[in-house]
Amino acid sequence: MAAFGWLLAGDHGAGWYWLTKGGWHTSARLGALTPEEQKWAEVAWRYFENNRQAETGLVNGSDKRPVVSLWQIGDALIALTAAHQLKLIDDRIFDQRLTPLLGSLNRLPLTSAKLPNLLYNTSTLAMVGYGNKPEVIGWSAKDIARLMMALRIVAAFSPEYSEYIERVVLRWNFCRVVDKQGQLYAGHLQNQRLTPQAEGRLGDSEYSAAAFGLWGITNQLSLQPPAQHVIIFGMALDVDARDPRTSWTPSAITTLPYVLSGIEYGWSLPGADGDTSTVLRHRASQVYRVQEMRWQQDRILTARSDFNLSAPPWHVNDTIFANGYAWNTLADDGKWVPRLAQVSTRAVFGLWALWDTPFTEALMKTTRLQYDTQRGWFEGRTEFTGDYNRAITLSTNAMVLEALLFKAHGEPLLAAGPVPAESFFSRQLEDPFRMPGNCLSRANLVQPESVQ
Amino acid sequence: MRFLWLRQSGLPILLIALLLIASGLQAAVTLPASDYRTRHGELTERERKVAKTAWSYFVANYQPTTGLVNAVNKYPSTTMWDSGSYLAALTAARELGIIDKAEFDRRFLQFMATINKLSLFQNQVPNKAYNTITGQKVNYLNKPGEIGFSAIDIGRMLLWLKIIKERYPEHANSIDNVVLGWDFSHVVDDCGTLYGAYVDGNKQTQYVQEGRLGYEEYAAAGYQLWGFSTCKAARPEPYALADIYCVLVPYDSRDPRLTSQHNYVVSESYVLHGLELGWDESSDREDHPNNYSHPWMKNFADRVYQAQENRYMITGIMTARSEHQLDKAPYFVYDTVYSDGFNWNTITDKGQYVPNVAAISLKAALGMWALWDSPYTDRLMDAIENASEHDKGFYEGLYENGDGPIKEFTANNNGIMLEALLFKKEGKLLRFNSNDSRNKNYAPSMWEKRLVDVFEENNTRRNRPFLTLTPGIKNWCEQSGTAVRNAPACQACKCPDCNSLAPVKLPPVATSCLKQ
Repeated sequence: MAAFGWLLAGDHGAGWYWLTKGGWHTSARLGALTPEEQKWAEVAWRYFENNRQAETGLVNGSDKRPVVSLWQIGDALIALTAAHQLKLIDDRIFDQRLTPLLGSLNRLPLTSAKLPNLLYNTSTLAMVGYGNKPEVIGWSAKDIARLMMALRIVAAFSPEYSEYIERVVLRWNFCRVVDKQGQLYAGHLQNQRLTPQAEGRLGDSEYSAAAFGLWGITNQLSLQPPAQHVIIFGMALDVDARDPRTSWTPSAITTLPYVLSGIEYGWSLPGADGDTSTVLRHRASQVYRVQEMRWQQDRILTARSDFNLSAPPWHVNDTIFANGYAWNTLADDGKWVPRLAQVSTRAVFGLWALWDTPFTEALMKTTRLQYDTQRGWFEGRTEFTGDYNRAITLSTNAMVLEALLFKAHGEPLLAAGPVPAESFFSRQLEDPFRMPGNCLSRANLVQPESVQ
Repeated sequence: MRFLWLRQSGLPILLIALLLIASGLQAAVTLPASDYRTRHGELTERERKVAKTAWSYFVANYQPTTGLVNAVNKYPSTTMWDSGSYLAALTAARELGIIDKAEFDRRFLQFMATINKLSLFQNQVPNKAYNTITGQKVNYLNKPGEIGFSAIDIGRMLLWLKIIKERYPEHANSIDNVVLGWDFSHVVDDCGTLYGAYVDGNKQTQYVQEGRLGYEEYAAAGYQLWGFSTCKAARPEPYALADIYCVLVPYDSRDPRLTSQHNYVVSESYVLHGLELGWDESSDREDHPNNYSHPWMKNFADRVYQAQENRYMITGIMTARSEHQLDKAPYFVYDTVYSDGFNWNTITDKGQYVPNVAAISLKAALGMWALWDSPYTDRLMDAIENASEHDKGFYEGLYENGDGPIKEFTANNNGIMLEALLFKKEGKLLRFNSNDSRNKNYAPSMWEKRLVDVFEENNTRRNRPFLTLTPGIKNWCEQSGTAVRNAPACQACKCPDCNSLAPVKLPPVATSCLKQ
């Protein structure tokens, strides 16, 4: 009994935490950080210290390059929360970092569609194109969703900022980014005009939908994209059934959406019913399992996600399955670049946090040192040569912090659920005389009781 | 509520892994196709009409100067594959009473004379293409020249030469003479892998492994019938599975992006194996209908059939897929159940996606009709039986998109239709008529006599196989005083990494993708 009591009390009460938070019936890697893991977090945080722009509070999307997407702004908010929770920074520094960032988000220039542009300059806050020249190029529901989710994480851990957080979202016009069935839309520039186009393939689609559900917005259609099976190592994995050859949109299976859904929502996505959640959880297990099988059977360390390169083609979609082939590696233009395949740092940390197994131990064993202590974590290790991919990005370093936060926190980061009824956001929507006119009216929202 | 997410993953990891594997794939389920029987019986009036129409192609496209038949209507060129289909048509026409023995003999004698005199590719085996008027070897433009050989095409020709040799032993000599004239040095290697040849940009001959799952094993059977061991070609590996309307369809997993050979899955290869070999081992001398001695061919064929029937049931699109000609550009497509990463892919030889020319292939439809007696194949028969033109034969196909018939006629299409009808009448087309070499009083053929003779120099020079010394052959050697050419003591030493006797484990046939 004494030994049992010691177990619960030891390690700063981690045992008790483990018991009460459900650690005893999960595959995840939960518990206080070891000194080595704390060091990993410090290295990741270096990136944010190095790349923070004092004027705007924004963080560069990749090392020393002052451009950022909404997805990456979301990553930065999560990293900041993690740094605070993991005690890398104190309350005062946290406030000094968060305040200008939220201020910038509330002042962010918007496109004619009253939506954020795809990219911003981190030092001027100007909307920019891919060449970092002032330009409106469209919007992405996927990136917007990531930021919306990240704002909820900040609010969950630091509720005192929630009013300013909610103002960010209330500024935007949702009329063109989601329809009443819950289909999400991207905006592309065609003949100088922003044209909406349905966005999201299986995997990304449900993960993006979850963030809209988190804010009470209808997301049903995007939660259930059409699926078909592909068979890899005798396992049936789901991939989007829409044909990439005729829709010109790749349908891929990759690690990130499944890992993020696990870390953030425990795969119970807001708006999804029990059956859908069961399906999502099963898909995530398969995505883990098939990579483990490749290691067990072919002896190839595998953790796939998209990643950046510091040389052309700059960005690579490194997948479990895409456009007809297992373990496909594609440049953004669809060109097959198998020699660029890599073990992705981001995917390793996600898998390592959610599955405490010999496979993720093996992944971490080769990953745990691939960083520059002064600059942060590298993107990954190339499968064909074992070389580092020395590109350093915001998203990878944020993922390290997010995974470590999950481990220390001991449960999904958004277990608290959607926007509470007692919030500035809800009051705004309830007030019939202050209707924001941005398609966020109550009529478009799902009723709170149907949100899980 | 907040702990609910963890409940699913609450069991030990190993157990979960097992559950997940078991839940997706259903090993114990069998396909309806495996219970359909093959069609057997005398042809009905309507079926006889189909046979006669199909034969009209071979009347219209016969070339009296060579005895060859054009592969495509009015275009005087052919290949060994298409000539194999002509032999199938010729045999069927005789057996079905469309032509008599005299007509058969006249056509066959002239055909064999031409084949025996063919100028071979670099004195090895027949070139990929020949002019049907002059008998000269030609390039893709039907101009004199040599372009390489196809091990798959030669495999089909070997299979049909064997079928005719067994059915009509009076022609055995001229058949054996042809095959004895061929040099297999670069066609089959010690591991039983089949190689094709092509001439590259620098005019150098390149030999490359040829054949993908389905065609590779079908062709291998042709070589086996002449005594070759085809260990690697005959194995189903390497393959992977595609989930197509809940059926797990095997496809060749050699990557088409690396090898420039498409891994297409179509009806034709499985249908031909069914019609000609009855999905039996090539050494199986019996023909028990609905009893299949080949370890996996029937099983794989059922999957390819079932995927197509399921597509009709689920989408309403009548489906019978094969490679086929078109009556417009790009003129030829692989119209597949699966190829190059996608279900129901229709691609050109360059790999371009051309879904608008997908079609019901008539040869595939009638082949499926003969081999799977089902309401679906009844409907296929209803759909195609009048898709023909008087004195020209059957159309190549019917466009799936409603654009009507593919107004092109080919020897392969009409030949396979004829052999499907002959299968209904007679069952498995390979009938061993010559007496059994296992008997002591067996009289070996010229091919066998040459191959067991240790002093026949061409045996080694032309890479001819070592024949099994059955009691009949052994007895003949002793009586005639022939010094026996024995296989090396250790066959496995030549190819340690392929064991043709290793059992084939059949993969699960279906996924649980349909709502119960």
